[in-house]
Amino acid sequence: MKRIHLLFLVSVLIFIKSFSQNKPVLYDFTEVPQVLMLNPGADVTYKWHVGVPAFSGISVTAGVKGFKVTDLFANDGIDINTKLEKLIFSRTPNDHVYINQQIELINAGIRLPNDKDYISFGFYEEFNLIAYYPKDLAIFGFEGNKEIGRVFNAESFKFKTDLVGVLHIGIDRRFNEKFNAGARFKIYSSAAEVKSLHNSGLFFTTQGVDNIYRHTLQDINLSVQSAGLFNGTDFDEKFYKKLSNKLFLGSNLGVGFDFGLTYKPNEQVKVTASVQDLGFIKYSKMVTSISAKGSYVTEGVKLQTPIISGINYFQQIIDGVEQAIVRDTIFTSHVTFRTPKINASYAYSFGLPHSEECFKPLFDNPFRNQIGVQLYSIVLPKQPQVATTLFYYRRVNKYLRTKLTYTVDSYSSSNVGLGLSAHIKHFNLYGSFNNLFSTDFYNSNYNAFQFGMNFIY
Amino acid sequence: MKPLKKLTATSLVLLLMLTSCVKNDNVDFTQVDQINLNQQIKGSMISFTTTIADFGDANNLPFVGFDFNTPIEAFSNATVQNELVKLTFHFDFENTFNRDFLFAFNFLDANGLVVYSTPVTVTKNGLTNKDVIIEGLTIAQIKNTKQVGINVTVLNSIPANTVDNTVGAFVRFKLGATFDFSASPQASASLIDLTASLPDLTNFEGGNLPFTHFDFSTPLDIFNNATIQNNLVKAEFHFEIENTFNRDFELVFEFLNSNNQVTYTIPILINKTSKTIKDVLIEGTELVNLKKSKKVNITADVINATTIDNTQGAFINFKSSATFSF
Repeated sequence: MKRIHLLFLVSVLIFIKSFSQNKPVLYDFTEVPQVLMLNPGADVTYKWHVGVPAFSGISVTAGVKGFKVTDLFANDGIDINTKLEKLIFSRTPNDHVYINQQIELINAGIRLPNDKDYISFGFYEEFNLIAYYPKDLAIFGFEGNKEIGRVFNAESFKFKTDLVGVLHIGIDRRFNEKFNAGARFKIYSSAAEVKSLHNSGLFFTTQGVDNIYRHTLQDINLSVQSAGLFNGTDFDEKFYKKLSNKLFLGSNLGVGFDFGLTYKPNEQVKVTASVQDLGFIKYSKMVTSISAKGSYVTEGVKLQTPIISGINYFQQIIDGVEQAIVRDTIFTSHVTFRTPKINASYAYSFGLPHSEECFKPLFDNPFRNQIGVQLYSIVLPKQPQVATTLFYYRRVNKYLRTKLTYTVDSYSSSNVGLGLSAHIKHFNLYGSFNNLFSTDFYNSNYNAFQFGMNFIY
Repeated sequence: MKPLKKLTATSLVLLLMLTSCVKNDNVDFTQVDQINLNQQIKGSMISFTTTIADFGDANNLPFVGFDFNTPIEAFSNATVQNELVKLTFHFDFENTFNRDFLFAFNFLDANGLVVYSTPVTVTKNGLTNKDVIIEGLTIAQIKNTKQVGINVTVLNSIPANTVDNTVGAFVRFKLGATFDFSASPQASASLIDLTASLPDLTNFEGGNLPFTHFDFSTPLDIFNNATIQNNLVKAEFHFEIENTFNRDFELVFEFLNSNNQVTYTIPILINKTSKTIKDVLIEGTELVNLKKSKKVNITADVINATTIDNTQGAFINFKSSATFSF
């Protein structure tokens, strides 16, 4: 049990450093078709495109706030127990980990004969995890209730994770040379979800009256909901075998929308905005929810005279807790809303090309350079997260486009990213890398990359 | 951009990208082996208030004793078994009788045998607070507890075994405990602790001299545990034997599997009138075999003699412990 505590504490602390699912390099990088996944109203100019199956878009983003691996495991001669204690007590319940991973299996698009509408569609797999630092739980696991009067709050226990397949189709209409708008319809197929977002209740030990200590469980309300993983209360042993079916319309389904627009008041200024994943998943298959509610106060076994020997008085305490803290397991359906993300940008283009013939778009930006600012927000269970990005884009030559970004958010002020998009005839290879100046993985706050391959016409 | 500048910029970018990778020089993940969690759990256990009616007979006098016990499962808990390193009992009495009492707190195993007992003298007309700390070898004993009992006797009363009949007198009793746990990838535990004197040794052979052989066998459940089976990488046994007899002995530990085949043997030569310390390290293939053990057989033989000396007061004190590394 204590080994579990130890592993739990170390694992939690390793990930206590927040980050976002922000893709500042890829956003509005219109040379890459995957930009439509971030803004369905992006001003793309392709006739059609098709991604290399399973390799058109791979992205992984991971990071934590306020903690680096080196904080705990640095080879600095300081006792690791000292470092661990400092970390446990210095972190806050708002610190969290948020991992996002996506793999596009299919991504394609084609411009309709009206020359205005670009239809794009595909399928991708997505894994999400957000887990807040359960500070009170960590402290209890670390030192117990040795500090009489310390209150442990169950509210800090909060996490959500899911694995979904997303089938999508979107339309991007160019209304005129100044204005594009688009929307994307998504069908979510969730293979699995586990979440525990609404916990409350206090546990504390105080000086007793009839005995030395009084232990109080006050207004305990704990719950964990899962879907896709359990048949009743037994883990579905065929989960992995059925995973591909579950990801592709075979399990709990939901719907969602992305919306986006691009406005260019003149040929040098561009404004964009988008919102992703306004939707929900209804969980009705293989749903298991467990909960515990109630209050209980004890000062141990209080014997009543005449004292009768042989009775299991300690078991009466356990029975009392089980009667007062009512546990329940239910299998009813529930709805989980997706995590919406909002992007917006303002860009100014300048610097006409001298003589080179660039990639042939329908209404390509003739300027070689662009600077601008991007805003990003994601609605997390506790609070929205906001990031601001300054960027510089340059069309290096007909083969290579680059974008350099500098992102500031609540957690990092040193995130420099670089995006590269190579175009060799109709073949496109792109990649974006965040936090370039972090020269040590273990000493960094944020690590993310996206890359993929497409054929673009 | 000039070619040289392009080359420089490209090189810089590539350098940044390539160096943004894993550097192991600055971190040492083996430090995790040094993590030691020391959790402390405080809890109330038993409380009661007794009056003269509870202590006396129908006429309240004389004192007829007080004996109480109740089962307790706390010591069977795996965490307690594996990680409890220190236990502190906090006794708190308020006694308004004009008598001293002796409260004996007994910890009994599944057979009702006392594995640990701590007496507390409760002084008359006053408050008594006492902390009893249990650690070391005694912790191993108390982990066998299946029930706790309280036995109360009156002290220094005249006439004997009577309580005063002070109206409204009472004894208010509170018992709390502090459990100190220690979790680290290394766990130590006491094993066998015994002291054998001349009658004990001769009794092994029916109470007659000469002593020729001692044979003792006991089941061994410690290896029947998933954590041990999956994670144990090293086992160290520590033996301390004090021998005041004028004889050498050979003590042999034979670990046996379920088919009574020997999985590991530890022979210990005990020199006469001396203290013997022996450490045994078991890992690798030997550890794999040891994990199959279901029983341990202990034998002792006199060396270089056929009889044991009859030195009065002579004894063999044997202590053993094990440290498991995961």
